[in-house]
This record gives sequence, C-alpha cells and structure tokens, in this order.
Amino acid sequence: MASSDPRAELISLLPRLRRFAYGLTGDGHQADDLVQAGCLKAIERWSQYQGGTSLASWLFRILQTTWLDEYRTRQRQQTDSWDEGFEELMGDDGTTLLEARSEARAVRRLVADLPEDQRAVLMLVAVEGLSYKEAAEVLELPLGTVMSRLARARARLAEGLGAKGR
Amino acid sequence: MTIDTMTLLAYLDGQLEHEADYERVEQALQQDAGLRERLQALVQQSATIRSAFRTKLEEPVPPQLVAAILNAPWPQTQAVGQRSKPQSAADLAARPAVDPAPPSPWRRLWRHWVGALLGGPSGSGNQGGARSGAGGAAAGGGASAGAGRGAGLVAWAPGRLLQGVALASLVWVVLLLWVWPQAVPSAPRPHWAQSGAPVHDERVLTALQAVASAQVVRIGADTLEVLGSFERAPGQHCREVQELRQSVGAQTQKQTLAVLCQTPDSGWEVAFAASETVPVGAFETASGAQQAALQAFYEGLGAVQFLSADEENARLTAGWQGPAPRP
Repeated sequence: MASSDPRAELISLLPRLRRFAYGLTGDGHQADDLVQAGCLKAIERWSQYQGGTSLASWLFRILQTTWLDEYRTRQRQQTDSWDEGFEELMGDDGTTLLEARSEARAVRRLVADLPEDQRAVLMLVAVEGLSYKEAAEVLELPLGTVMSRLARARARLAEGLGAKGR
Repeated sequence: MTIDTMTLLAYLDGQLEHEADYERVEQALQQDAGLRERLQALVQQSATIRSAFRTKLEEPVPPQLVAAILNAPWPQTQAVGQRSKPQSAADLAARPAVDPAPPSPWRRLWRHWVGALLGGPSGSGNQGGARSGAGGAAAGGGASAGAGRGAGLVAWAPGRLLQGVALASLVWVVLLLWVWPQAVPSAPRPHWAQSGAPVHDERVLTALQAVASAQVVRIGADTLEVLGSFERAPGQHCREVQELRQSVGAQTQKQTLAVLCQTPDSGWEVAFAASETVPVGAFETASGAQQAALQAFYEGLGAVQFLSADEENARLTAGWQGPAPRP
C-alpha cells in the first residue's frame, strides 16, 4: 500500500480515532493531541503498514503505544477536566435527558478510572466493535487475556453503575 | 452447568469459537433465569457504554487536526525532496501503474479527479494511465507559469486548472461528508447569495480553514475547489473558490466562482460571487463573464498578491490567524 495517499484515509478515520483517544485519555484536548501525534507517526511509518490489514486497527495500536509511552504520565494531572467540552455538546441536543447525560458521564468516569490495560480492551471491543482477535492483535496480547480483561472491566462498570443508585 | 461471565460475554459479542459453545450457552439460558438476567444486564451495559461515547463520534473534527494531517509530509517524496516542490506530473501518473496493490476507493477517486482535471476542460476522454501521463507532463511544464500567480497576476488562462494541478503537486479528494456524519442539511443552500453574507456551511468553513489550494473537496454530490489564497489586509485572508452544486432532479448544476474573506470574528464572508447555471456533465471551468467579473473585483482591491504554496501552508498551519510573516 505504498502509494495511496495515507492522509485521505486517515482523515476518514478521525472520528473513530478521536473517540478511542478520548476513551484512553479521558480528556478532549489530550485526545486530539494524541490523535495528531499518532496520525503523524502513522504517516512517517506508512511503509510499515501492511496493506490488506485494517488501517483502523493499525492506528489504534499506534495511539495505544503512543499513549503508553508519552502521555500516560500526564494523565494524573488531568482527571478534573474529563467532562470539559462534552457538556456543551450534549447541551445542544434538546432531546437529551438530564438522566441520560449524567449516566453517560458516569460511564465515562468509570471507564477513566479503570486500570490502563482494561480500559484499552474495553474501548476496542465494546466501543469500537473490534473482535476479540482483532483487539488481541492491536494490544499484542493473548486472546484469553483480552477476554479476562474485558470481563473484569465490565464487572467493574456494573459495580460502579449499580453503586450510583439504580 | 455454570457459564462464567467471560463465556457469557463472548456469547453476547459473538466471539465464541465453536458452534457447540453457543448451543451450550443457549441451553443454559433456557434453564437458568439468573443467567438470562445476567445476559440482559450485559446487553444493557453494552448499549450504555456505546452511547456514552457516541457524542464524540458525532462531534465535528477540529479543522486544525485535519490541517495538521493534510500538511504532513508525503512519505514517498520525503526521500526525493521536500514536498512543497511540485512533483513531476509524470511521477504522479506513473504511481498507480507501479503499485501492485489493489486500488483503494481513495485511489480510484484520486485517479478520477486527476483524470477529470487533466482531461476535463477539453472534454476529451483520454484518461487512461499512459495518456494522462502525457497530459500530466504538459501540466508539469506549466508549473513555472503557474508559479507566476504568486506575482499577483489575476489573468485567467484557459489552462488554469492544469496549472493548479501542477502547483499543488497532487490533487486528492477529501470526503468531508464523512467527517460530519451528521451533515447539516439545514445549512442554507445558496450560502453565498450576496456579498457580505457570512459563510455558515460547516463543511465549506472547514475547507476554507484547512484545505490547501488546488485540492478538490467533495461535499456529497457537489464539489468545491480552493483555487488560491491572498492577504487582503494585514491579518485578513481571502480564498478564491469554485463550487459546483447539483440542482436536485435537474440536468443543470450551479457553478459559482467566489472569493471568501475572513471576518474580524474569525469567520468567513462572501466578498465576491458570480454564479452560472451550466449543464451537468463535463467538468466546467468558469465562464468568460465570471472571470471578467472576478478580474474587475480584484482590480478594485488593488494589488492582489497570491500566496505561494509555502506561504499558504504556513497560514493553514496557523489556522489563518495573525498577519502573514513577511520575508
């Protein structure tokens, strides 16, 4: 795939990459920084991309490793800004119920509080819709590890949502 | 028989390995009300997780992010030379032929547009690989003439589109519609009806904000090409665009040549617009009347100095903020 223009393909993936990065970072600004850094890396290393494989998966992998390598240390300082920007966006939607909004917020907060390894698996499978096998390839983990992390993440979410009084 | 959460989850996600595993879970579900409840809770939770992140997917992508990617160096040319240098058109045309990989939809679109632009104005059908190579070489020869646009000339050569191709070194199509899954159908259709009208269409705004000149942006069935940029006053930039809009159910399309300028509140407004109705089909360049009107508009402004590709890149990266750096 050396010759198609990677930039056009990357742009078409941006909404998903931003969503994944938002799940990883829990912060809109950091998410966009991460997406930009990841996309530029992908363009630089375009020759390493195996044509015929999923470009989205490759990008998820780059975002995840970039996040682990460079950004994670900053995360702790950012936990307060989790909902920044999101409220406004939801506010535009007249049909959004306050209840749904606060539930969505609670879910995002719970996801943010998950251990790093569980969060990536959850985002890839439950949000991005990757198969377990694809997620295992992205994260370079055995299939069984993906499954157990996913189950643990979802148990924690269930606990957290239940505790929020439902 | 007990089914653990991992298995139940894999059942729900359709990730069990064998048909027998599904049967085993289904049997258990029939017998065990508690298990059904657990499954139901997981289904519910899946929906909750997805919807918690849905807004992020639907949110418009920030133009700066698109711009950063558009302006990233093209990996294949890094070894050859810097990217702002016009690539040889033969190189452009040759590339698809050398690559054994199956063509991606993007590349097909790309080829389509290069073909349309190179072969377009004359309307001839020579869009095959070799022929567009020849056309490309001609366009490459026009590059130096094209660079002359930077020297403030406003003259409209008939081969203007060809120059555009050579100048920008590649033309490719951004499906901005994809970037806005919730495209704004409510956007006012004739958005540059008169001078001074603010530009509201998000997709046009992003094209203005993030797309380099000589790139064609597809907006649904319509196209928008940014033709050039200049600084009208310190800190106030303008971009010349040509738009083709299909009229619904008609055999005609509306072709508009316009100059859109920045407003003090960092928006864009119409400074000049001339529209004509043209038949659907061939890729049309602006008519003589439109070009004359534009020329008169430019003369009214005084000396219009088009930005070079490098200057424009710098402005794009800066989000069109602040005055252009002076050499």
